[in-house]
Parts: sequence; C-alpha cells; structure tokens
Amino acid sequence: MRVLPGDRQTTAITWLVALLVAALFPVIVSNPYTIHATTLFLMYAVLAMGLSIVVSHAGLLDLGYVAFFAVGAYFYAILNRSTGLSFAAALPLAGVLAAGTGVLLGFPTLRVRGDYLALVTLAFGEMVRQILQNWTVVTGGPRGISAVDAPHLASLKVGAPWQYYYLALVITAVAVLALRRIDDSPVARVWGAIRDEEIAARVCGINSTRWLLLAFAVGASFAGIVGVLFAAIQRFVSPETFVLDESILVLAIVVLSGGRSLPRLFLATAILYGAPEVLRDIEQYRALVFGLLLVVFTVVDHRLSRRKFSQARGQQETPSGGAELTAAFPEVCRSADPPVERVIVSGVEKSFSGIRALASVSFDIPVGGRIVALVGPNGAGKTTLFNCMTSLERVDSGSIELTPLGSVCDRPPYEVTRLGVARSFQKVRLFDSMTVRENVEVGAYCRLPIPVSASLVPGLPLRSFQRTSGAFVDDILVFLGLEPLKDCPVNTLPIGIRRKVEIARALATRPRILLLDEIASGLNDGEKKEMSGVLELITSTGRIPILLVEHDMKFVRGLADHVVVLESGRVLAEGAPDEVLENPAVVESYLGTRGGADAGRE
Amino acid sequence: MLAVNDLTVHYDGITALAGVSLSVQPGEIVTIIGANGAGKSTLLRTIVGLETCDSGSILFDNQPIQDLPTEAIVGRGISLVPESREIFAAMSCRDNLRAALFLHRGRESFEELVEPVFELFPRLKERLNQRAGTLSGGEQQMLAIGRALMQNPSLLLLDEPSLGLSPNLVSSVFNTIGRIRESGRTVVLVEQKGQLALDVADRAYVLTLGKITFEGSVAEMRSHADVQKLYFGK
Repeated sequence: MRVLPGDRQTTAITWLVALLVAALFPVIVSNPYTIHATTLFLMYAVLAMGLSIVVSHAGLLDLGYVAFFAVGAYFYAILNRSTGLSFAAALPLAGVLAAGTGVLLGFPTLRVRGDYLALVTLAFGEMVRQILQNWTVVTGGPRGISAVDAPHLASLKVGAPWQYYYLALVITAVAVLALRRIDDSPVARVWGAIRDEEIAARVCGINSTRWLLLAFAVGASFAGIVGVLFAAIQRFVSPETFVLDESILVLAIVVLSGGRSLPRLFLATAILYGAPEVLRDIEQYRALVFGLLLVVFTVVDHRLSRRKFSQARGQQETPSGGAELTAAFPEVCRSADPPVERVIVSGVEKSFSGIRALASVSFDIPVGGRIVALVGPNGAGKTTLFNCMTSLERVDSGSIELTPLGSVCDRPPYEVTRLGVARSFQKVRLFDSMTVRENVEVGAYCRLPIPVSASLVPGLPLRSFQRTSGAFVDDILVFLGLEPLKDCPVNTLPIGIRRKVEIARALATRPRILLLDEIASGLNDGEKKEMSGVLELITSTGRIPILLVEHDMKFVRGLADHVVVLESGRVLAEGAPDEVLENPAVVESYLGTRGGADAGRE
Repeated sequence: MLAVNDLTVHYDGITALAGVSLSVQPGEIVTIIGANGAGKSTLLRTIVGLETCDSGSILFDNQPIQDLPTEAIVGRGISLVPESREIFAAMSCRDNLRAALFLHRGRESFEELVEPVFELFPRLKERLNQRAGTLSGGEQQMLAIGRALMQNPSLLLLDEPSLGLSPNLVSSVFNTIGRIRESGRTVVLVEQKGQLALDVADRAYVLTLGKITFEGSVAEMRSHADVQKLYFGK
C-alpha cells in the first residue's frame, strides 16, 4: 500500500471527496434500511482492515478473527447491563481488551506457523463461541443478552439509523487514518520483513514472536471496537452472530482486496457483503451469481494490476551493475563497541536426522582486522557452522565464543545480531516485497528504537525517526554502489546485486564481525575484483573482521589473511592461504587438479 | 539451428533485452558473457518461453517458437538448466529424473534414457533413492543437468552451471559440457567464470545492458582488449 510522494496530494483529495460523499449519503438516501445496511458495510470494512494487519502485513492466516469481534460486543453488553458502562467508555476499553485477548491467543500459538497456526486460530474462534453458548450465567447462553443500551453521546441519545451511520463513519474514518499511518511505518516494515523472510528478519535483530504478537493485538483491537458498535446498534448479542462463516467472510474480503490498498478493500467489502444483499431477489441463483462475480472480479483485477505495475516501472532505468565504487567506508556502520578479536570454536558437533554435518570442529583464530576464509567441498559443513554462529541452529555439543562478545550459543538469533554478529546467506534471503532501500533499513532498525506508538497512532511524530534511519542507510547504499538502484524492488534484481543488498543490510546492523556466505558466486571477474575492494575497506578502515565462506580460490588467495579448510565436518587444515592451498590433502579432496589451485594462481 | 532476431523483453517494466540477435549452429558450444543484470538469464528464459517477448522472433530449426508455451518448446528439443537448479527437493532423485518421461509420453523407457545420464554422472546412480533436497550442491547440479538430458534435447541451455560449486566440481562440470557436445548436442552456456567458459566454447557473445556488444570466435574474444578489461578484470 505504498504511496508515492507525488501521489500524496491526489490521494488526499480523493479521500476528502469520498468522505464528503459518505457524509452526505444519509441526506441523499432516505431509506432507513439502506442506511442500516450501509452502516453494517462500514463495520465489515473496519473488521477487514483489522484482519488485514494480521493477514496482509504480518502474513499470518487467522481463521478465528470473529472471536475478537465477539469479545468487544459481549464486553459492552455484559458490563452495560450489569454496571451501566457507557458506550463512549466501552469503545477504547474493548479495543484494549481485544488486544489483550489477541496476545493471549498469540502467546502460546505463535510457536507454529502456516497451516498449523490457521488451525489453532480456527479452534480458538470455536472455543470462544462455545463459551458464549454455554456460560449461561454470564453470557445468557444461546439466547444471548438483550436490551443493551443505545449509545448516549453527551446529552444526545442515538437511536435513528442515520445517527448510527455517522457513528460508524467516524469509527471508519479513524480506522482508515490509523491504517494509512501503519502502512508506511517502520512497524509495517518489520512485519513485512518477518512475512517475507522470517529467518533473515531474525538475523536483523528482530524478535519476530514479539512483533507478531503486536500484529495480533493491533488487529484484534479493531474488531473489539467494532464489536461495541455492533452491540449498540443491534442492542442485542447472541452467539449466532459470531460463527466461522463470519470469520471467513472477513478473511475473504481481505484476500480479495489483496492487502494492497484501502479503496480495494472497500470495493471487496461492497462485493462480498453487498452482493448477497442486492441479489436477494434472485434467491435461487444467488450463490451462483455471487461466485461468478467473484471469479470475474479476481481475473479482471489480476490483469489490471499487472499492467499498472508494468507502467509504473516502465519509467525506471534498467538496473545495471550499480555505480562505480569510489566511496569510503560509511562511518555510521562502525559499532561503538570494539570489534571481535578472536573466534574460538571448540568441539562443535551438529547432526541433522542422523547425518553428521559437523563432527567436532575446533579452531581458535585471531580475527581482529582480518579476513578469514572458510573453504571446503560442498556439504563440508561450512554453512552449518555459520548457522551455529548466528544461533539459527543449536549446537549438539561444544561451544562457540567470539571474544569479546562472549558465547553465541544458547541465545536467540536476534540477540546474537544485537551483540554484533551479522551475516549474508548462501541462498540470498532478501525481503522480496520491498525495495533495496527498505531492505537495508530493516537492518538499521537493529540499532534504532523503533517508534511503535508513532507507527500506530496518526499525528505522533515519525519524521525524525525516518530521517535518522534514512541518513543511516544512504551512506551504506553509496558505499556499495547501490544508490542508483535504491528504489528498485529487490525481486527484479540479478543475483550479484542481491548479494550486495544483503551485505548492505548486514552492515546496517553495525556489526562487530561479518559472516559472508559465498558472496562471490554469481559475480564475474570484474565484479569480484570490485567486491574484494569493498571487503578490504570494511576490514581495514571499518575494522570489522570478516569470516568468508567461498569456493573461488583466486578470490580467497587475493583477499584472505587466514584460511580454514573444512571437510566432512572436520578441520582438514588451516593457516596462511598459500601454505594451506598447496597442502596435498587439500588439493586432493577439494581443489582437484585442474581449475582449482591452478585457476587460483593465474 | 537457433536464430534469435531483434528480441526485446520488458520484464516487470524494466527493459531486460533491447533488440538481441544471435545464432547458434548445430554442434556448437556458444557462451554468453555479461555483467550481473545484463539480461543473460532473461534471454535463456525467453528462448524456452518462460518470459514473453515484446517484439522480435526466435526460430528453432527454422520454425518460429516465440509464441509457443514452454512445454511445447521443450517438446521440440530445447531444454533449460535454470540458474537456481530448481530441482524437486521433496522428491527422490529417481523421480526427478522420471519427470522427463512426461515429455516422451511412454515412447521411451526410463532405463533407456537414464543410461547415458549415468555414464556422465555415475554419482547419480548411487543417489537414486535419496531425497533430492538432501544432496550436496554439486550433486544437485548434476541432477539438474541430468534431468534436462533425460528430455533428450538437441539444444541444451545452461544457466550458470558452476554457481556455488567447489573448485574440483567446477572443473568436472566443464568437462561434462564438452562431453555433452560429443554426444551430438548443441549447448548455449551462460557463465560468470568467463575464462573457463571460453575454454570450452567455440564462439562467444557479450551482453551489456540488454544489448549484444560483441560477438565472435573465442580467439577474437581473448584478443579483444575492452572485453578482457570489462569482464575479466585484466
């Protein structure tokens, strides 16, 4: 839902016109039934906005969303009847309560993802409905609670459909403002990072579970608030309203809206909520026509959105290899703490379902200001060792100590990154829905306090944060020659550039050591030379030591101060590059006769 | 055998190929060299119909194929080994290789087709029942090439076959390319390890920002100063 700067004014005008039309609606249309139906339409739109935070932003499938709607509705109905809680007070309280329920649901269940999470949320929705149905003393059981107070606002007692309509319109407007704020906020970017590549997000210092809990909570609060409005309008609540079908309807709106834009969300709500209303007259064929409409809408929309995307991108330049590298090391990447001095790996073992990836690996290397290469045949355990160093894998036994950071085992990956270990991945893991710049920004968030409340509440200052993170990122982009490509979506870029973006993102975390996994593969000789220059600048002027997994021996020879050869999960040899790469055992098991050692020397 | 004429491709709105023409004669190994983002992978993907071209034509055995769907192009005898290998990770090696049988519709048996593949890669015979996703990088590359050869193509397109392989495996992959040609196939090779590619190739094209900027024999290529400077860092 990104808004281009030039569009901002037009968008604002469009929203104002829409608001004006919506405000005049009850004046133009006097039929109370239509006004009532439109009120419900607005409520579904707000529900869908809340769910879109969970589904579209955070990428979690939630099939029990209506439970939060029920929490809000029953909260108001019960407390209004027993203590006379007013409507105005209930609105924010229900939001908070639903958010709390969201955390309660998320806390135990966010250990699972994907289909399993969907099943858990499905069960949660059903559990809540069963409680409403059976806890008769409190909820009134199947008969529900009736004679709920209509809202009093100051001295005005709301009763007519048009009055409810305006109430719903105000809530919708607030929801729209909140969502538009969220869409382009740092928090949404964090959610997007987790959605696109959770593993990469974690090594950017993001505690993904905590952020997903926040998504659950924020999404649920929308439903809680709408629940109060619903109870006040109907003046009656019963378990029948809060069934799975409702969750699915709201989810269908979100899916149909593609999670990309608010106007589309309203359109999707109109189709999914409105069409069955309009089609009442052709009762028998209703489902058929409805289904057909859905298919046509989806197909047409898919075509349109593709074309629009092409047009928008058509004006951009072809991404080339990026600019010439002339810039100095960006000082912003320098950590305030001293860089890593030694890497001490002792007796590390790691097996995957019977296959021994690491069989007692030990080495103790001074890395301060140096580039150390880790080489060895495919499947020797190099990447596994990196995974253990960043805590993405837990070692079976042994320990890894990075002086002066301390042990990196038994800590969650996001903590290891915050300690100062950053990395790239052999199979590049970028946040594919984002641009180059946004990817690097997520790395920078590691060292910046992300303004959560300012991301969620319109009006709070967000600019200064964006400026700080922006300036931070700019220097890094210039350093790596990515500046001209900064607004390109990363998924359209060739592999060599994607590797550079990963390095930029890793640098943005202000690392005290950098682990780079096969960054030269996929680069041609000229590009490799350029990359060597970059790495030398990082270690010599940035003083950040680099651990390198690499297959290109020419690259390694020209760059590394020290080489460790792994084979079948053990250290085969280590020492100065020339020495180690002449070692007969290394030549035999790894380099082969032709193209290996020879190519390295050419 | 293959003639690409003035091919233009916009890829998500970016001009990836701007009027590329090249030709490949039967029995040749032709290599395409260029920087990251030059459009090499896009060119191969367009030849097999994975990207649609905006203008230009692709003739294979003098028949236009640019409007055919991928499966029809593969059916005519062009196979692609994609850059990221794209093996079916959850399936066994045997099932990966058997996937080629869809193309032959039972006219040829698995045993017949797999024999020459085993000759080239004896390692795959040992790994037949192993899940493809658990193979090492080199073995996965063998499997990807083997799977393409099972389709019995007359033209094989290889996209960076040496990516992520250890040095000894790199040289064995390049040896293999020579042997594939000896079995009567034509090869188009996209490769970053330019020197090695030139060692096995007959002719080369240089692609720069979606345009062919140089074409010629390997010898001409080696003596061309600009090309050497740009792509081999000399």
